[in-house]
Amino acid sequence: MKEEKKMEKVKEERVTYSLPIGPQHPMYVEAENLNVYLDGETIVDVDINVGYLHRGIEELMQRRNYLQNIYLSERICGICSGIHSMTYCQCIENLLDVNIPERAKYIRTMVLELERLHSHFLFLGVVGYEIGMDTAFMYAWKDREFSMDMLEQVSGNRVNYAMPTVGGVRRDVPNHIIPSMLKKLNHLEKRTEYYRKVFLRDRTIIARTRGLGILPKKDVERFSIVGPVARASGLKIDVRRDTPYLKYDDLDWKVIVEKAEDSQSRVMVKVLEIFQSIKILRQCLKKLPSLDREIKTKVPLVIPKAEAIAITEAPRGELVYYAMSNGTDRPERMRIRTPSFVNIIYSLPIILKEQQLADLPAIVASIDPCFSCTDRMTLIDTKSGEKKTVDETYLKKLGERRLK
Amino acid sequence: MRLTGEALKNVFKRPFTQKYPKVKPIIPEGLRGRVEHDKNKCIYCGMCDKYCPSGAIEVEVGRAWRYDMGRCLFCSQCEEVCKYMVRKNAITMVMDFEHAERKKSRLITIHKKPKPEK
Ligand code: SF4
Ligand code: SF4
Repeated sequence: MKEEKKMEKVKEERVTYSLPIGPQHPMYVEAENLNVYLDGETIVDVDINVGYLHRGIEELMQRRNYLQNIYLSERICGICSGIHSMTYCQCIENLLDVNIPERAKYIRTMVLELERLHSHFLFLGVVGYEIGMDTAFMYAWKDREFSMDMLEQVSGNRVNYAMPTVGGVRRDVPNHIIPSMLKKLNHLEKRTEYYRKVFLRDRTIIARTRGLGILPKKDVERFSIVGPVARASGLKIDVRRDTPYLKYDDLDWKVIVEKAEDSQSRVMVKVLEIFQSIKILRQCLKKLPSLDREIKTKVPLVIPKAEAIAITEAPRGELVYYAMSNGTDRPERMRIRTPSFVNIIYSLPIILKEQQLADLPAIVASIDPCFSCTDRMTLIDTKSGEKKTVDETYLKKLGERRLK
Repeated sequence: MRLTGEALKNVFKRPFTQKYPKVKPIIPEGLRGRVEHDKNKCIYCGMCDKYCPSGAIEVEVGRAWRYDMGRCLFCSQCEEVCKYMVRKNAITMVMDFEHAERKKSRLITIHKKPKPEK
């Protein structure tokens, strides 16, 4: 506490002015607000205000039945929509304690890896864009089209795939599309090799990423930062390896770790992960024709009282779903913990400290933030500007007041 | 700088984008497009209404079926329910993806249950 006060004082002495960035700002397409405290051009501290995209999805989930929720969970995030619905289904399957058919597992793995591909390509584009290098942005997004096409071939839609259902997957992958998918994967691999060279050697990119936005390993451990951001700081964590789900323990792939702790290593982790995803996809496609055709087990739609949890690795890190059922066809409680929440809230103040203001967009983009899955409720007293995050005790108190 | 070379090479290539309204894109089979409802096969049981996640379908049980494309997510849950739970196959998703309309009311389809022939 004392230390915090001291820091506060140092901050007050140094800060010459504060600059609000967002909620509407050309830097980022999503709505968020960074309050940047500056000493000249140097960033002293950052206040992050999220909550502009809060939609109350957890509450909405409790009002819909288990099948409807698949599509609602998919809409938490537009980029990693597949992983949300799969984790949701996995969670409900854990509630029911059912096993899904082998073929369904392979198809789910495939869709997740395809999604990782398109998410990482999108990320490369966004980094290029924030650096001011629109060429990289255009090319990365052009190549992303191929992974989107594959997703459309497999699932019938480009963004919200609606692929899983409780107990399996909803549609089969026919054998005749496999050759065309392999061709596209070859193309993507070639392009990724090219991006690897560009993001490693291009002068502009080096100038804007290397040595900037340092996130030390001890801070990563301290704040439990997850996913590629943690791996770029030398921490070897990946849910796919640590608590394998679906088919990840049977497939041959490895966790990518970079040691440099800076923006560039965060980009490189993602570039190298694309290779691993392509490797996983090739194995899945090879295995698929030899499997049994069954893709779905029958499950009851009314679930007796139980509790379950499901953990997966989303393109941005660890994703946790918790579900509690109450013997009806609706969940009693759903809780979702998204990776970007930890990554944004805890890592941004660390990596932005002592950086130049002009580098802010590139550094923020390098952690691949996704604000729509971050938003929580914060109460702000508009008169005094006092902020309060709603916690359990406060909610209990509210509930008690209601009951009286 | 490596990216400049790539950019120069691409200047002489064909554009990657398509001239959309004139050139139609190639749609992979199995695209989830418009919801098509068969008046005569339907038994107006209301199961699709119960499982539609966005409330795009409303069924007056035994009488009428109403579909609002403006609310539809194109998830094909209704198709699945009708096919596997009710076993009527009254809903299919056709591969039609151009749904823009000038008036909201034109997005709504209402089907009344046909009168039984005497
Ligand atoms: S589920 Fe099928 S049969 Fe029942 S109301 Fe809907 S469309 Fe008609
Ligand atoms: S496709 Fe989905 S959202 Fe659209 S009507 Fe059918 S169930 Fe409802």
